[in-house]
Amino acid sequence: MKKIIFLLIIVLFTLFLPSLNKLIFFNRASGNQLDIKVKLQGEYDKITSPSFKTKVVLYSGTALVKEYTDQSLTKDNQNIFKVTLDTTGLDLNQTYAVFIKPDKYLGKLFCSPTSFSANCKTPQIIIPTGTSTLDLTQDMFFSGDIAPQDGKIAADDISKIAKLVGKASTGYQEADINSDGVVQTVDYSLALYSLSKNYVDDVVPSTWVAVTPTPTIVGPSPTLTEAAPTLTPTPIISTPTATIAPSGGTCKATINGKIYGNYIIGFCSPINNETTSVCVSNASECTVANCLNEVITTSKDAISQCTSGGGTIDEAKSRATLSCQVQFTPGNCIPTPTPAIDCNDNGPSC
Amino acid sequence: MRRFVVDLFVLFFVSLVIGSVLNYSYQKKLALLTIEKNNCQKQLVEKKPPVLTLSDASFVSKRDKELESVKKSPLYFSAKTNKLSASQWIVTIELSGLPDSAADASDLKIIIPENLVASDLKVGNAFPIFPRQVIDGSYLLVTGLASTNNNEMLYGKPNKIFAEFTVTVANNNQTDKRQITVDTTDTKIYLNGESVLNTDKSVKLINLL
Repeated sequence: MKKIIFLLIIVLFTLFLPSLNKLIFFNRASGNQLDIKVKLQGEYDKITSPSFKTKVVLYSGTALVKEYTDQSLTKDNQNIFKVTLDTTGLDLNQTYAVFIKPDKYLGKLFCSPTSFSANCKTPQIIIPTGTSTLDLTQDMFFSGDIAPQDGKIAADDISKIAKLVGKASTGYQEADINSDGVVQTVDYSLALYSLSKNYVDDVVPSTWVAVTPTPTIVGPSPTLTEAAPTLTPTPIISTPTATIAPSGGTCKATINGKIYGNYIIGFCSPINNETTSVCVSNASECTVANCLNEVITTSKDAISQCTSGGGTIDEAKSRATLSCQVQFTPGNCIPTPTPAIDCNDNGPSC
Repeated sequence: MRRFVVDLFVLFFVSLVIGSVLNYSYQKKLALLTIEKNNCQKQLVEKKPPVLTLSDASFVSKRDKELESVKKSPLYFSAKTNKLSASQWIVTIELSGLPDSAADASDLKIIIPENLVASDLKVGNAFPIFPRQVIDGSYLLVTGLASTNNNEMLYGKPNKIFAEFTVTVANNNQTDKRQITVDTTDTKIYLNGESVLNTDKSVKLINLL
């Protein structure tokens, strides 16, 4: 009898071993991962699973840090696409700029979600540990630079697309810009639009200058969270952000109040003594009004981003509760990076 | 009693083993079915018949009809200058080639040196549309494209004016060369996806005399 029981235990152990394995691996903490969201030119509502091979390059202030090739850019929602990067091994104390070039599209350079293309002078993107999302949908990627890609849209691109209009593609088709399986006049039109605007790839500076005299007011960057169990996104101001303004100084703000808004139902998110530092060109820019405007603007951006435009901020109600204490310190501004907005992070509710 | 407990214990384990085996095979079958379903869906998407709109069909029809009537032969740019004053010229660029030849897309890029200024860019009638007409300080870029019109596709035709512009001396330093150059990398003439630019004959340097 003992033998039978022993045999049964062995059999059971063998049968359950794979499940045990699965359990262990499923619970293992995954490495660092960055989801980058971008907006592509074109209508993708009715196109099933469009995907673009994409090159993503990370730059620090002084050098190319890492190049990801053939990354898959897949549809997230309408014409918003997402590429996922494994950021394990990157220096997370470093600020980055990111250059993204999808297949058939022109490349764009981002220093932050709001600083891109010609305005991208100083890398400001910070990559947090774990899984995070970087929303770069403020600017659109324009198409028409078909293979072989040369960073611009020219007569050869247009002529090749015109030649292939009407051709269905079983696999990869260079002229099928929107990847719907057939080259159509809409693909021709997409490329023609970019050509008529003379759009080209963004130029990546050969060297990144650490101190850039571009005084801009950059407001506090909110983190939009979802307050369980009401599934209401709640923006909170969490991490300070700054650009460099050697001729001006640092404007330090301490923010208190509440952000009221609506997403399906009303929500309220408290801001308690959140501090942020921004670089300003002179003391006159370090005002309470500017601070409040930035809080509202960034909160609006964050709610819009995390709800795909479905959420709104009750500006009047929020302003009534908000207060900013500002302090200007002349001299070199210490840069603190812009964090990525994490729409999945749960934050407090009022 | 002891015998009963042992029997119960054995029965429990036997049931557990049978249950596990059945569950294992069921999960395996389910996984296979899921793979099969995904493959079928993928095939459905991949084998989706091409959807051509009326606009696409019209474009294809006009393009193919017109392609039959044109001769694929080399085309090139030629230039003429007309001196307006000691420091100003009108430069006329023509699309040249055999009469029956044609092009569906063409770029002309001219490099303007610092001592000269280009202005008053006008496009000609070599192409039906010129969607890009750029004068940036250091260069001039014009793109001509074929276009559909009623029942036909209008291609770019040779021996017609492509573009015309004025060049003025910006500083009167006599040692500066008064010449503009054609950017041979970004100057292109294409027909049906293939280059028809005769690089040997095409103008590369325009002297302003």
